[in-house]
Amino acid sequence: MPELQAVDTQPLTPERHRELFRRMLLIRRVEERIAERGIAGDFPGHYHVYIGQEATGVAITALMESGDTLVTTHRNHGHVLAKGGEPGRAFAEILGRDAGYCHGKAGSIHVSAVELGVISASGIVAGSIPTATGAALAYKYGNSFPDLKVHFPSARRPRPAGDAPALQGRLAVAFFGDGALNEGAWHESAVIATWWKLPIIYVCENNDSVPYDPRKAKMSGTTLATHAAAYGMMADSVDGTDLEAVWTQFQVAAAHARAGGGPFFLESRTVAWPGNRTTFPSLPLGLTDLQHAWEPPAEREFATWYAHDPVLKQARRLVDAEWLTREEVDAIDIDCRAIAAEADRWAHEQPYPPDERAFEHVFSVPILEDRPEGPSQ
Amino acid sequence: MSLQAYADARDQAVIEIMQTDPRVLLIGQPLLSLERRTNRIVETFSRDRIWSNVPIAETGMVGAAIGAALVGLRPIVSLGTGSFAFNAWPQLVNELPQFSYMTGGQVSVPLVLHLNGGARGAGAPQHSHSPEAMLMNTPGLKIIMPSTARDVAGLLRTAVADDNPVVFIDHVLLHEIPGPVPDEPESIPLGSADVKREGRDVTIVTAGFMVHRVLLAAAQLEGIGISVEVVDLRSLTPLDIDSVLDSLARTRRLVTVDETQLTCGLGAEICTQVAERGFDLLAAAPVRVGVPNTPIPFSPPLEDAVVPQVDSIVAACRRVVEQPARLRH
Repeated sequence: MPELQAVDTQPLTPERHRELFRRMLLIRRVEERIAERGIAGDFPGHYHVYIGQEATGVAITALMESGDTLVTTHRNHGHVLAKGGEPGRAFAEILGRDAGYCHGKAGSIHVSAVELGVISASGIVAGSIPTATGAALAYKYGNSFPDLKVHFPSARRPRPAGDAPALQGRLAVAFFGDGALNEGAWHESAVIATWWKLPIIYVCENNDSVPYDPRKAKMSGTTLATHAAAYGMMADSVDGTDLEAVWTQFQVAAAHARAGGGPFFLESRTVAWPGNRTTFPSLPLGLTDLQHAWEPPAEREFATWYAHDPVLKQARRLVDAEWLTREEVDAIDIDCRAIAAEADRWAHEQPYPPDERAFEHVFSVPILEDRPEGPSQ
Repeated sequence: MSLQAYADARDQAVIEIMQTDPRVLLIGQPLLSLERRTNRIVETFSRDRIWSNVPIAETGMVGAAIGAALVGLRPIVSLGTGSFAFNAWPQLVNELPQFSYMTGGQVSVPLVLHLNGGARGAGAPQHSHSPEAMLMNTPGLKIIMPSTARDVAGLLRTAVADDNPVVFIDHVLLHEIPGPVPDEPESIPLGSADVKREGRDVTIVTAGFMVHRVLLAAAQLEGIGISVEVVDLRSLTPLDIDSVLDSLARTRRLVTVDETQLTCGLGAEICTQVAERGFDLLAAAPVRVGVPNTPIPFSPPLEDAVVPQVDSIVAACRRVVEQPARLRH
């Protein structure tokens, strides 16, 4: 097991606390809108939301540096928004509209935004883990070739503007759920990343709700962190409902990986959000009522959720510390609701992609075979 | 022009590519051959460029190549035996080919995946696959299948320069076959078939190692008065069906020869496209020579019984030529 170096972690300033709370609340309000639309059958296909995990994504993305890359999963909306994604374009993608980040070809399960460093959103459990490991391999390669500057290869023309960045010193962050640890892709990547000491943080978001499996991740006699530690990587667990805890622990992980210590496995434990029980999430508690931060409902069934909802927890913390008044919390909420409503409205106004889009981007430059031809046309 | 073994021309091309472009690195078994060849690629570069001390983890390896390509490198990843592609299948068919499409063109994945496909002799059912038909069935992957020293060098240069994933189907039985290679580096475009032998009576469409068996069969057929044209596809995606149709306009008779299974195999795809686009060119029903729908057995006579041989190619050509010409309406 590698040694962990002491790290001077930077505390969250009151200003940063407020800013990140706002970001968490924005994700919550947008996700609630998406769930409402999904429940109403407003878009086809199944979908997943990030409700209950906002503190993890927001703290970690705020600490990522320009040039670091993030790979995400079927629960990508929160990560894209935490990275500063436009709610309207994300919403448009979920609705299958041309203005979406991926021209409507990805849908809810696969929203990626390369301009934000979100280079992949695999809808396959553990699918993104090998990819992220490869980005880390490129960053390690960059240590040997510090002058090498590369662009993201893009199938869209023209290529993104700006100077190509160096590979050296960058970090890959892979988000995935606890269920992914049962997949072979995780095992193979863990072996490779530890063997080559790659600069990657494996963020395992244990949201206490493995789909299809009420008994949760089927791992006997071990916690997730000890499971990862068996590969010889640094591993730790953090309360993923607590913004400040994730903020602190991720700095330790990132410093370790950036310094060449190899991969770091960070389990972020959150409590099960009651709406998360199926691939078609519902809103059994309705929209989040911020008053519940101080006056939770009396019924005991959802007491754990109200105690550990990361958004309510952060609101309580800010008001207790007198960094915000309850009136200011409400004002931020009104703002976030308005942004979510506008994203929803704007996305619905966007047209569906023209049929030609179906034949674009199979390859970076179309080849004849991309289109049907001959008598069957 | 100089005469080089296929594997030497291939390795020399890789060395030149890597010397010119620092974004190119090699992951996995460095274009392994079955014979104990000196590996000049490994001798030429430091371990910074050759990541060959990799754990046996094909899904992880292909995934790592994808990630490295996504952020700007141009990896060549080699799994050695073609059958091992199945150990990487989740990344190879459900991640790699989807990136460009699923991101709406935000990214592309410039990597080359090297596989030694086909029956190499005593590979038995688990080391003898020809996965190219399954991969042709996967939109988003390009596939090259060079047959000569010149083609492998020229196609590899194009493949590494391509912004898309390219699968390079190699064959260990090709490695020692010598052929002329131009002195100046050459790039051969993907999707350009090459007529390896001109003829009048029948067109054989093939690729990769089978080109050489077909050429032997063509020489035999010449002896009994059947003139064979050999079209080497060189790449399967993109597929140069126009060159096949051009040849059929002259010969009007078609035989396909490849190592994929007959059902939904390379030959099936060629025959289908010819039927759709060139039905009236055909004077006779085409014949496919491929692997019957069995695994590849270990025992040498059994292996020979299912993999296309000179004799089975000769017999197929005779069947096609001896059919009375279908009247044009």
